[in-house]
Amino acid sequence: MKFSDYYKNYYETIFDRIYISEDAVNLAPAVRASERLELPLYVVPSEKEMSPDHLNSRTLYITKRKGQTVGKCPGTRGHICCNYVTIDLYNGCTLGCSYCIMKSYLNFAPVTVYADTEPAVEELKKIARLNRDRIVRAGTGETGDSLQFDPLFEMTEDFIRGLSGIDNIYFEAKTKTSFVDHLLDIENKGNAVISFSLNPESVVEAEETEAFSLDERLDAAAKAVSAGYNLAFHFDPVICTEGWEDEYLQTADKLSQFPKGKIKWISIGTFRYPPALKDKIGQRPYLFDEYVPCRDGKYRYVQKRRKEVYRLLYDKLTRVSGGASVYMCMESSTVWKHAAGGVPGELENVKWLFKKIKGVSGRFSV
Amino acid sequence: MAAGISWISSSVLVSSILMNILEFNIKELLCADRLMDFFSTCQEDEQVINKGLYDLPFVDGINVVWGFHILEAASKAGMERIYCRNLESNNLTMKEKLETALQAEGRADRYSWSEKEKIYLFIENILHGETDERLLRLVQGGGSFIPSVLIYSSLPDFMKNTVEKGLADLKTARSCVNIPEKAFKLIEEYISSLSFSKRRIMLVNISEIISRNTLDEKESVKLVKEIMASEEPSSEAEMRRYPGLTGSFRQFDAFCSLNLKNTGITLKSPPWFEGDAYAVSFSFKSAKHLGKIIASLEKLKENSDEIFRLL
Repeated sequence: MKFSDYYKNYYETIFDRIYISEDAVNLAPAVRASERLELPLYVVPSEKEMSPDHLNSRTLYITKRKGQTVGKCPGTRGHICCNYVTIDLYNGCTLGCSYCIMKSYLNFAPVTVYADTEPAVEELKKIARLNRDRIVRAGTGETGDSLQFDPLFEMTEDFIRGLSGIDNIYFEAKTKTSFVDHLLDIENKGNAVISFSLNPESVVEAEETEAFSLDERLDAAAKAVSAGYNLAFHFDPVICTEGWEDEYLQTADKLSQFPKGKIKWISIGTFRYPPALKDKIGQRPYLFDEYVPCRDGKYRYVQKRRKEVYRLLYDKLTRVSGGASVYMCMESSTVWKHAAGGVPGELENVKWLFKKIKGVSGRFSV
Repeated sequence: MAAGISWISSSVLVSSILMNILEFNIKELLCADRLMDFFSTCQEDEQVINKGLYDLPFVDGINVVWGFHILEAASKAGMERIYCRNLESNNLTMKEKLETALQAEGRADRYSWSEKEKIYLFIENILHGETDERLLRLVQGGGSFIPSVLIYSSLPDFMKNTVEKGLADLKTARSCVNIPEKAFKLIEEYISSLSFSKRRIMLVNISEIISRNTLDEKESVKLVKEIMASEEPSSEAEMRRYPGLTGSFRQFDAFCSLNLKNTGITLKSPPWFEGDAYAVSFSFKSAKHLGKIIASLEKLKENSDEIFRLL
């Protein structure tokens, strides 16, 4: 897949300028970006040298990661975590989801790209070797969209190729776009998983304003699975607007189109927020629902409501997904027992996802 | 005007400014341009004025730079002329005049919102936004005061008064601007009697009900009237904002009252009904007493489905 005018126009609409840190100038992704986009380019010793007027999301900042690139999501107090391994590749995105939790975590407004993939790939190989008796799931979609800028930088390919020979690692690229074409022709895909965050179209239109439509995402999923990729889906955050039951069930039904066994996992997470995020979200209708402070300090729908949501979606997704492991993100054991009939360690279909991973240190909690 | 003494200011910021102390006509000064009349400083006491124990106002030719409150007090005390520090020979820029006024006022971090708004409008309209850290620090020590003043300026007048009176913080006021003035007036007196945090919660609850139910002015007034007609308006607002949760609390209280009243047993729900276990506590004085408690616990067991449904 060549870098098309479509992508060029897309990125040039999003960004006004590119900054590259001196240590990243010769990295292939940085060279690609500077050659492919006709935008003003600034090379700086560090982000501290950026013009204060450019410290906004219209700026693309390409740099090398200083410190740890691979880490473990540490989960949150009182909630069950799936021990997912996170890779910082893209920090921030421009999809404009109203509920984005990163608004309360990221203090640096420019979209930041860590353009040196090799240390992360090597680190993942090491982690896989340390955990031969279990499956390691690792992904780049924690602090940004894995694929929104990937046609420009082509960094996901480094991970897919680099990890393709390793049986016990599932590398996941998670997106709300349809940008998969540049990945389709990669020959050795290994266990790579292309995953999509899903919400009913009404939620996409109202709350994910710059992201791609539900159908566009599902079409991209169909292309990815045809090209030989595994799939995963994330119903997170589930937002209980009026008529949410029917809309989420209809969305879940759409997953039955994918071949049995190709959807590796599906996560469900109801909308939750740290107090600081509420002010940043502003006056969205879903904020006027009833939330309570939970043990990790985040606000969630009242437990009775969450039990209802999870049971409905857990049952449905288990039935339509052709054997996928369906799990809840950051939920309490009480909710797990109600919705799934037990905690992850007791459930054959999901316990492999929740095994502790050795050799990865925790970072921040999302 | 009478010729005065040349004077070097002792202050740090205006140390290089040469000032002539001259006598001015008070009425003329008060009738001239009031462009720099920012401060709501208390007027000096008449005795203080009569004894001459006041700071000399700063003027620039005929325009007052600082000291309106002194001039007004002097005028009230019947004085016609007053000595002022004249800055005219320095050809100060407007920014330097503002710095001089702020330095003379010397109340950094203690300006009211309306004073800060006036200073901001001067910076915006007269200085065309030109400012620097030193000037900003004369108004507020920890960072620029402008972002918060912009929020204050965007509030309707009645909400500005609420902030100015200390009835609500700026953040609360901003999030509650959808409460119409007519509705707000109905709760103003009541919320004044609440603690700051209860007042904030009540305002936010009412604001969120209005947003959630997309109420217009008339409907908002009706809502507030209904809330105020209840026995406990703040609890009523809470109940209407969180009907499910409040319903659970009320159901739980009713259950305890019905099943555990006068038994000596205390039943505690998990916080916000998050969790899967209730806790009971009791003490007993004799075997007979313990027997009564066990009987009460049996009754609790029989009816417990009702409270497990709340989790």
